[in-house]
Parts: sequence; C-alpha cells; structure tokens
Amino acid sequence: MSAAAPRYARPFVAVFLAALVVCALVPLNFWPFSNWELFSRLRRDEQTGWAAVAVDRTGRERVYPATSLPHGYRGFAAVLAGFSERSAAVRDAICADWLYDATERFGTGTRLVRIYRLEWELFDRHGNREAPRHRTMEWVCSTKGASETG
Amino acid sequence: MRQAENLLRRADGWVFAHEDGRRLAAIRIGICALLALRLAIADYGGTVRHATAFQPHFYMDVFEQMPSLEVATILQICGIVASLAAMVGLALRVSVPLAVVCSLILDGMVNSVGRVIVGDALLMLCMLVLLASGAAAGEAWSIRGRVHRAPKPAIVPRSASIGARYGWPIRTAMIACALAYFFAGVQKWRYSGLPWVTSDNLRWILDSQAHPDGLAQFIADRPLLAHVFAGGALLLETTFPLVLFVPRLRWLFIPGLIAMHVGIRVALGLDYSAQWLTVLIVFVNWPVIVARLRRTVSPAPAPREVHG
Repeated sequence: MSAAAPRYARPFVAVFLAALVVCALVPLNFWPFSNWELFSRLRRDEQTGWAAVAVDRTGRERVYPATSLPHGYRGFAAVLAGFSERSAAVRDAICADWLYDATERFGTGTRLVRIYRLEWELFDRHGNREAPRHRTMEWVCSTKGASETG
Repeated sequence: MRQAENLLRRADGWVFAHEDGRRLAAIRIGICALLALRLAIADYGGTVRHATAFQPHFYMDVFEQMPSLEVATILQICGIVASLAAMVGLALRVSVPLAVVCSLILDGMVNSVGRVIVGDALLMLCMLVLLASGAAAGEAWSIRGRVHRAPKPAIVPRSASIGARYGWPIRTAMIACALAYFFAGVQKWRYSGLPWVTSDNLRWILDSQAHPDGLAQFIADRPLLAHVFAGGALLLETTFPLVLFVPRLRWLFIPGLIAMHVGIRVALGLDYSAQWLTVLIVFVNWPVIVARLRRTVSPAPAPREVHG
C-alpha cells in the first residue's frame, strides 16, 4: 500500500480550510463551519430577557421555568426574539406547545401562559441578591392561540 | 511571487508530512468514542417535542418539518452503533459516513430550534476529516483484520507504517482546531477590540447569568481579576495557532485551554467539553503515551551480566 496521500487529499484540504476561513471572515454560520462569534460582542450593564408565567383559573401566577424547555433558556429566548415576525399559525402552534407543557407541569387548571419581557441593570445587583426585573407583558398564550399585548 | 510559492510549498510540506498510522488510528478511536458519547447523552426527544419552533438551519432546509421522534430515535441508535463500529475500525467505508450523516441531522435538529450550538462544531469538523481520510484511519489499532483474517494477526500492524497518507488528516484536524480558537479570538478583536478586556464586559457576562454561581460572582466582584481572565482568554485564543509550529507550547496552551473551558462550565454553566476533548484527542501523541505505558507496565528485562 502506498504511503503517499491520495490524489483527492490536496483539493479536499484546500476546500475544507477555505470554508473554515471564509465562514469566519464573512461571517457565515454554515454549521459545522461556524463563524466562531460567541461572546465576541461587548456586553452592557442593561440586560433584557424573557419570562413565562402559567396562570390558573383563579388567576394565580406560577413561574413557568423556561430553563426546563429543551435547550433551556437558549431555545426560549431565540424563539421569542423572532416571535412577532412569524405567521399567526406558527405563533399559535408554539403557544399551544407551551400551554400544553405548562398544563403537564401545573395541572389541568392551567388556563394561560403569559410571556413577559424583562429589563434590568446589572449594577443593581447586591451580593447574592439579583437586580430587580422590570417586566412588561408581551404575549398571552391561551387555547385560542397567541395574542399580543405589548 | 517566488516568496508566495515558497510559502505555499512549505505549507504543503507541513500538511502532507509523514506521520505514524497509529496516531491517525488514535484520533479515529477518540473522536468516534466522543461522538458516540455525545449522541448517547443528548435529549433529542426534547427537541422533537418543540417541533413547532422548527426554523431549519442551513442544510436542514431539506426537511419541511422537524423529523419525528421515531426518526430521531432511529438516527440516534444508528449514529451510536456506527460511531462505535468506526471506533474499533469496523467497516469504515460505511460506519464513518453513517455516523457523520446521523449526527449532522441530529445536530441540525437541535440547531433549528434555537441558537446554533458551537460546542460540537469542532468534533464534527474532525469527523469530516476522518471521513475524507478513508481506509488510512483503519490501518492500525483496528479489529478489522482480526475479524477478516483470524487467526493471522499480521494484518494489524504492531509498529504501524509511516506516510503522508496518515499525516494529512492529522495535520488538517490540527489546523481546524487551531483556526477554531484563532477565529474565536479574531472575532473578539473585530467586534469589540481591546475593550473586550479593559471594559466591564466579562463582569457583565458573568453577572448576566440567570443564577450566577459563587465562582462567577467572585470574579465579577473583582474587576482586576475579571480583566486578567479576559486578557488571558483573548491571548490564549489569538495565539493558539502557535501550537502547530512550536510543539512544546502544547504543554502550556492545551492545559490552559482545558482550564478555561472548565472555568466557563463552572462559572457560566456552558458545556464545551466536546470542543476541548477534540483538541486533546487531536494534539496528544497517543502512540508515544501507549508505548510509555507499556514500558512502565512491563519494563524490558535488564541485560544479564556475563561472568567470564
């Protein structure tokens, strides 16, 4: 057996490395050819985020732990970031999913899932105590689908 | 012009250098074992459950909707079995492509319901290199020969052959690892510049976690320490390609890299184990370690004294 590299090896290496470099420089995220941009942009003191709350028939609110969703908060935040641009049918389907999840978790009395936009400043944190979050209701998920409130 | 030609020739000489076939085999074993583990511990059922959030990423456009739970389970089982078969060197022409396809679809499913995951990208890039290396990856430390030609063990080389056919996949995987970290550093310079180190950036990253733990708060509450860690991380990433040309630096950079990722895991809860394990598998010269272990376990008998 020859110890030399096969004929296709040089073109493969050239294309493979070119793809790595081009995806990083353009940048393009053609996974697994990543743009390697994670944590590359400066963070600020002002933070925004999302929270979901399950509401039962009596109006009692219970925190719906977004981190328990598949891929945790990462998936929840990413879905909500482009939520308003999606079609009404897709929004309704996603909302139905969350409502189903909340019902599984908190029981059949669950009526709604409210989605709040959170804003806070990291400077306001004192030791182990989290900075206070200012919340604005943006969406309500019910059996009728998703409705915008924000 | 001549300088460029010279540079290209030297680069070609470096990539297509002669390497030990056992070193490529060790990368095959390590990378495939890691892939099998990643496939085994991932929760693709959870991904499928939120199929409504499906927004196909890149090649996942070929799917009109999220693959079903049954499809995901079959892919997961096939992927694990194929990775394990490739790990032991069985049917590489089938097992490696099957492992690659299964994990590309499964990772694609995960990437299509949220932010794209970076942690497994390097592992998959090395799998693509392994796929391109063909039969060369299975010519040492493989049970293939034992199965086909038992009881003759000669097909499995004891001291594997050396050649460029083993060298280029190893060197290409090394370059992929080096570029991954280099570009992670470059993007920080590009989008943030020196303020990535000198501003409160790292403090805010640590503080912005939903539930910052003790280590995160300890660093965030000490601005000087946060600057030191930020500077160290940026320096490590930007200069990481030096490990390609100065092998001694691997003793400094790779433990530093692992420490950085373990710190990120503890402080931020982000798991980059697939990435740093890939680097470890690719850069460590495993045949040398195995030879040393063998010598330690069964040292060669000392020459007998001749009286006469």
